[in-house]
Amino acid sequence: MNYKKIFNIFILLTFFTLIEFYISFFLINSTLVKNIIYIFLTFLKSYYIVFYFMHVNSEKLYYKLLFILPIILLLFLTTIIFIEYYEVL
Amino acid sequence: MNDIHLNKINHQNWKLMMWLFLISDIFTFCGFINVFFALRLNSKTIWPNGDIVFTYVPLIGYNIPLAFVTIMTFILIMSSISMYASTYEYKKSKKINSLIWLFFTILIGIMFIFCQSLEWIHLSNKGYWFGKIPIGHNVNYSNIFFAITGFHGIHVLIGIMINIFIFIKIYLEKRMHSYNFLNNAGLYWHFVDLIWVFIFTFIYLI
Repeated sequence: MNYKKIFNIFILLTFFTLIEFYISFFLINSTLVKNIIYIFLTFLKSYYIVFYFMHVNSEKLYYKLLFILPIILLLFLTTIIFIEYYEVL
Repeated sequence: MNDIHLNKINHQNWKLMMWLFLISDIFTFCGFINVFFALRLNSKTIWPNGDIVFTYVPLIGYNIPLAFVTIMTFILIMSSISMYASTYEYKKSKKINSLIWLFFTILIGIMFIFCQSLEWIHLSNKGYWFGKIPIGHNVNYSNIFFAITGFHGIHVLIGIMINIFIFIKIYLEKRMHSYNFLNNAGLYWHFVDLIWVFIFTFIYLI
């Protein structure tokens, strides 16, 4: 991990944010497609932040599991809750 | 005996405690965002759209939707980079470089708080505040919006306080033995950045 690599990640994160900003008022009319793109880009950004800035990438395997498994469970629960919300409407 | 044992806590345990705290904080923010969606999807009156509410850009004469929030995201990512660089230099035991990067981190954090307070002042002039909203819209929107961004702002403020504290500690110390402390402060700071990325998507964009 050196300065060049961290600078590349910085460029990537800025690029993803600019894409989100750009498609928020141009390009696509469908709200569903827009939302799927937003959520996909958000998880991509959070992957880079957690694995490289918070250096989970260089930890041992059991530490990785300890940090990541609760978050995956939480995402699973949130997905179920959102599906239930949409069924109510 | 117990005191001697406590002094020998190794750095793996420090990191583990920090991560447990961060996971519990993730649960708090998840609760906030779930409440936001519950209020939004059951709203009987008009729910304001992010493109229409957030069009204010300071120093520029005309309005661009969501531009100021994008700039604020960019500012937080920048501060995350400088915090990473500070930890990296400290690990290579270069004290002065580490302090310079930490100083930039504190400065950019204060800049973020300044930007957010500008946005809050503008919104309150337009008629958005706790329990207040332009007529015809759902008042729960401004309640939950100010609650979430205020909670995140308090996190940034606490992060700045921790950074100032560790800046003084590193400046005064003779031998370099506060790597664990700096690393944990860095974890907290990156976590604040991570939360902002999620707020940017779920509150402003969607």
